[in-house]
Amino acid sequence: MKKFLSLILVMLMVVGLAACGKTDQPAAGGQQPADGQQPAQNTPAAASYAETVTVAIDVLPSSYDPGSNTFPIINRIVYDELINYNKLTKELEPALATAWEWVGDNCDVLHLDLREGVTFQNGNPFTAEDVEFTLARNPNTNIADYYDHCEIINDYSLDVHLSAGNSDFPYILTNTLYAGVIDKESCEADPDYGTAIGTGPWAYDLDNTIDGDTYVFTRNDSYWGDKPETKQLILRYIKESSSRLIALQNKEVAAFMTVGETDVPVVQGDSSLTYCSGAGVGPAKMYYIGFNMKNGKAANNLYLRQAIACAMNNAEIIAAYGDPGAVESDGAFWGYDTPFRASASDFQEDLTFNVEHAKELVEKAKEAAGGEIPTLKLLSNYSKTVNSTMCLAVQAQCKAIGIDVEIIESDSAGVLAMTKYAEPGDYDMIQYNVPLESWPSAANRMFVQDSNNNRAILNDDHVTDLLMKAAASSDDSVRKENYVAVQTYIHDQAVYIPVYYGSRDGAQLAETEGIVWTNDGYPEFTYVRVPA
Amino acid sequence: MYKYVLKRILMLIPIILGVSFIVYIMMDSAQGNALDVIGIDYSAEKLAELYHQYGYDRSVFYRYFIYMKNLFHGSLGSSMIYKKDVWDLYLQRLPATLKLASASVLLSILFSIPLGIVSAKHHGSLVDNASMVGALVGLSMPNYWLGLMLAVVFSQKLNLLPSGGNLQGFKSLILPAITIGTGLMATMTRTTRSSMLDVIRQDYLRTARAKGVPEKKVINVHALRNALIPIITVVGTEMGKALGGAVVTENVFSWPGVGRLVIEGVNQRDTTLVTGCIILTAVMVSIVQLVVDILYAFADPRLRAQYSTGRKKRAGIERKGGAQA
Repeated sequence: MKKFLSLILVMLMVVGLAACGKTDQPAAGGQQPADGQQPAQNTPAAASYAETVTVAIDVLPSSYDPGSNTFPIINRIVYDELINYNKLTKELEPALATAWEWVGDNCDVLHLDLREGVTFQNGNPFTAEDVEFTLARNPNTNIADYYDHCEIINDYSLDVHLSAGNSDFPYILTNTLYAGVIDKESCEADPDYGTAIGTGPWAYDLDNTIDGDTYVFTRNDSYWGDKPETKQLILRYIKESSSRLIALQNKEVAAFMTVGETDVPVVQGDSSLTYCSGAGVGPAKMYYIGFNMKNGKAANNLYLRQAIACAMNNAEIIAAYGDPGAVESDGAFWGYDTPFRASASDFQEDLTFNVEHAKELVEKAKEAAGGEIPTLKLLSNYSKTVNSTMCLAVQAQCKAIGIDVEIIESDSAGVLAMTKYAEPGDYDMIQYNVPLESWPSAANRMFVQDSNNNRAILNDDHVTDLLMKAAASSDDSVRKENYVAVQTYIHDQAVYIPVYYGSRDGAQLAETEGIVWTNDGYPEFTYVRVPA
Repeated sequence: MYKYVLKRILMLIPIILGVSFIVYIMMDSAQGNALDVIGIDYSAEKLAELYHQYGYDRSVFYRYFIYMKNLFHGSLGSSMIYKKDVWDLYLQRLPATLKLASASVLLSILFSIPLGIVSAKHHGSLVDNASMVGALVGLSMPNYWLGLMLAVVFSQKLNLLPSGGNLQGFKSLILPAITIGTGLMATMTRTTRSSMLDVIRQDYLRTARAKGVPEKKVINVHALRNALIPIITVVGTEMGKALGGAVVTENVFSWPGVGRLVIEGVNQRDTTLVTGCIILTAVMVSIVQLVVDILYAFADPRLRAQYSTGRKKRAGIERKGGAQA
């Protein structure tokens, strides 16, 4: 018997000990240097800050390719864009391109002068060929739909030719989601991982990275710009908000993104932590209700859409979720604090919250429908509390004017698929959000035909025409006229009902420095540091 | 015995076929696919190119056929999201999963078997009632809650252990192992107790006592050995479950195990990744079950005798056949 029990225990211990062997993971989760690292450099900066900083993230990157990665935090630290958009000053700044200008008046040829002496993290020099390679292979619709070809003048100068005029193209080149420049040579040598090499201040440490869990970066000591003080940055995926908070309180991480709604008072009440809101910095996520204009039950009933717009009490929806930095929508579906924004006086219809007016519109909607209004299906990525709270509020507000709403609960990929293929009867309305950059054409993707972001499946030549006219002109008055016309049309037709611009937050140790908390939910960790 | 092991290994083929088919088809029938997730902002041309490249412009059965063809050539395919071989991704997570599974099972064996024996031996006593109440409490506590409470107490308040991750070796393992082990401990204590109660009433134990065998030996050798089969079954089942990944506990402690990898794969509709990981998990579980079956033979002499009887019988038939010839 003893032999038998010993056998079982020994087997389990062997398996356990085998698994407990030294792994390739980083040695410490806190601010300790990793195994095998060189001693701190004998510089004042290295002496005064911890060599390793760990930060908790709640979203996973989707790829090692900046053209496909939906996680700007990593793109921002590993790659550089040609042009930088300063979220604080809202100005374009030189990055890998030191100067840019339109050639001619049609906004279809952009001349770029490139920064000399820049190298990729593998030591390869950065040249105009890399820019051409990056733009030509970029699958993102914002670039692919406009990019035609490049004319390389010399290693550090080129003209980018567009297939159609787009005065916002310099802004598009700033986007950390897809515009990071990659090394042509390494991509051609290794199509899967060649894209993981950029010119940015941090380089992937793929040997120590665990996909989908822990991402490790080492400082790029040959970076052309300001170098981070920290030597190693670890992004640790902690899905549960409570676990993120405990990890911060335990000083296992120096900061984390997204504070759980019930954790906000805990963070605010803890003197060793700092609550950080990104409100007002950078692009904001617009939370909205959209109607399925392809085959939804409200697609051909303008009064019904307008009635729902009037029934929606945005302030109540914001209060229900309790977003402290939320900004209520003024009716225009446009980027927050973005040029060429329409104002209430531009709209023909008054669709502000008014239950009596909503009820009148419901009666007209019933006449138009030839009887009763059927139950409407509201599609949502219901796994997130912010979405489920909004859906329940909208459901109750519609009920108040006699419209029944059934919530279709899905997840992110499910919503993507349903809006893409939209079979009849799938859904009539959608609750969703979109981060809108602070340049005018950022909202285009919500209205352009066949765009994956066009959740209303709007297929309106009038709108497309207005957008094309605005984008192709360098004359601000022409651009404003057309962009305002688009917003007015969308508002009056109640295709999308903008509800509020949400704010995103995070928390850090009181001593943590250098993080820029932004409103898109993707803080900048480039210069994060913790005093040693 | 060897033939039996070989037979069980051969049984892996229909298991792999069945599991892969079900998982592949189910993943495909879920709304959305990995290409839609990756290519949310892709141009229509690029997306169409990818659809063609991954066979999404063909039927799901065609894609499954290609998948299986590659599988029988030894390739589990490449994750569409991570662009990495599924085998490599699985191996990256397997040590953490093995570590957690074996630690939680070991922990529960160490506590639950002695407790179950004591409960059975002192049936109806205070110790028995207390251990049964304790087991019920252990079973009733959801891992999500227990994990968070342990993290609050031992990490946040006492600052003794890390709250998550797998970066601090043995210290990182303690809280997740206790979280999983508690429920398992409760199940095993109850199983040990009920199995021992069945055996303790048997005549042969009375005989052993009458023959003057010491009580310690009666319980620990004669009784426990005969009560072990259900306990081994529970251990095997729980070990198998743990190898599939304890998703809730892995999430609470951000433990980089296989379960979390599969869940992320499901969320991103990465069919290749999910199917590959589940096939490998099925193989692991089958191996564990095979080990359990072999352990039955060690635990129960009757089963061992069956194996040897089978061998002797076969040998006898062969001899007989030879003589006739």
